[in-house]
Amino acid sequence: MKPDLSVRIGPLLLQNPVMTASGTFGFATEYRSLMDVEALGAVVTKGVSLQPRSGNRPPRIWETPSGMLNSVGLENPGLEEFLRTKLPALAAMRPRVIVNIFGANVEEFSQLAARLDEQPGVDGLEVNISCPNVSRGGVAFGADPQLAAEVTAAVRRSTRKALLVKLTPNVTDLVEVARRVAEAGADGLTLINTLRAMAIDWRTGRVRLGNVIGGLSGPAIRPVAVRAVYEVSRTVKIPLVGCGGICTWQDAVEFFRAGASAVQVGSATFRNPRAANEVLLGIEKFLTDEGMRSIGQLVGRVEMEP
Amino acid sequence: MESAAAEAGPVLEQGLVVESRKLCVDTTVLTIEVPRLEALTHPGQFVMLIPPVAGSDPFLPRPFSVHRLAGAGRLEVMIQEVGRGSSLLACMQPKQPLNLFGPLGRGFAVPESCRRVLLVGGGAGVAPLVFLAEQQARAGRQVTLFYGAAVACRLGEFPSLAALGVEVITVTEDGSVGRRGWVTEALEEYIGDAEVLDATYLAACGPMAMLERCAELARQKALFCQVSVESRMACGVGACLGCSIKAVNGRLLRVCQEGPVFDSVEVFGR
Repeated sequence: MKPDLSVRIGPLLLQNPVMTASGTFGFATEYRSLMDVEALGAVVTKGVSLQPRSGNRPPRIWETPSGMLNSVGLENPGLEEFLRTKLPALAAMRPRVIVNIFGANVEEFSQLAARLDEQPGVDGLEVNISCPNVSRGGVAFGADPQLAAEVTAAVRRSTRKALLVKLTPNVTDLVEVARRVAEAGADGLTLINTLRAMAIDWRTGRVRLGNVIGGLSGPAIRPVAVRAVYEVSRTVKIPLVGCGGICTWQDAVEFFRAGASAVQVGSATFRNPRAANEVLLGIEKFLTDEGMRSIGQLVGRVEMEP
Repeated sequence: MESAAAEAGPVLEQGLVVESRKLCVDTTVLTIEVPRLEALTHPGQFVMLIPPVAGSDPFLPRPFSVHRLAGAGRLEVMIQEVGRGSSLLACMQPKQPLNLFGPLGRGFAVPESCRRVLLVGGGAGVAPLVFLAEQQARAGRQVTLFYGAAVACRLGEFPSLAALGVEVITVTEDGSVGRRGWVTEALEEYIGDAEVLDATYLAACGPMAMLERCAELARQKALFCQVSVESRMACGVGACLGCSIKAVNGRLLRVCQEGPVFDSVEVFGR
């Protein structure tokens, strides 16, 4: 018998626990011929803001050991253009559509949420209060438990759709931020966004990124993300979505054991466009081989004896 | 001419390395058997080669212009060793599998009315121009390739071009082979004679300063010019927005999507 892979996050039922991570999958159509988009549990879009944003100056990416830096800076076509040109194709696909939203202040987050709440093709929102590449909003919200809670509460008042909040690991007390955001009405938490990082050309002395500092992603940050999921899951009882360096199904299983209910595949898609598909197939086989009837049986199954 | 491929979209395939040939001191040409992809590829488009290592280091795939179509479902890529990723690819041997996806991006678009094709390649930038030169010579156009490198040991040979009647003008900075100086100086001298510019198309690939000079010469002579631009990439498919360059008007252009081949005015202005 096939294991039950479905996952509930607030009002949202996903056909399986594998999503794409925001910023690594565009608006899904970019990957349509390269992988099976229909097999995903959800697509999380590139971050969308009220107004179009041109992002940071190039160069914007730099490869690092088992990972990469990016300083794209939330370049996006803006909400109305997204609704007109990107959402229709997304809504026609089987995976649930989770729109990642970014605002420079609480009011902008509210407006984004209210407008997206009207859209039948949108199944959920992921609130980005963790981008390291923008000067206002972004990580500034995610690093302050009070501000993080205010943004979450404001978005909650504007939408009844599933509400995920994506948190930054660039904080002293992640559990406190997570606890406050959950209390403010989030249905789930995405853990984690990129880590603030930097690279310099040792010969010329030039910085590698136009924005000087960027966000580190890829397998290099996976242990940080696993730790974040584990710690938060001990205290916060809403669903957690693990994100950070997941390339294979074994990586995903590690996150479920740490306490994640679902996972996002991010930068790994760059290297292997079918990474998310392979993660899902592997999870299903693993559950079958282990005799588990549902993905829920794996969540939090960690043995504290090394 | 790319509409069919654009609609179908790029494909992810496991190819097979069938030949490795040293082109010059730091550059290798790999022949890859990958029929589905070969059939879709136009000159100027590129493929992403996934590093042939288990695990995740190096992490990102590497973009390479298609250098030639070798027939029988085979395509060639020219790999200049500039770091660990390109070195791992350059030392691949026949019978090894290689995962790749493509074709990606916008290729060259030679106007129908054009009769003469001028190509300017700097170093490994010559890679996509050989593909274009072969195609254009077969289409009956008169093709001249200006091929420049710093020194003789960095120049490769392309026997297929002579067979098709393509004129190759070789330039080295130190004069060790061919003409001495910059490849753009050879171009400038060549097009100094106005009558050769009738129905002429110019394409260039190489360092940014070389492309800019080509664009400037094209502007002076009212030539239609296209340039193939290089940039660091993560996704190659327009999703990550990492490879964008800033064009002359401040507009951002995704090299993987709006390029890698741009009309020179898009990048450098009129």
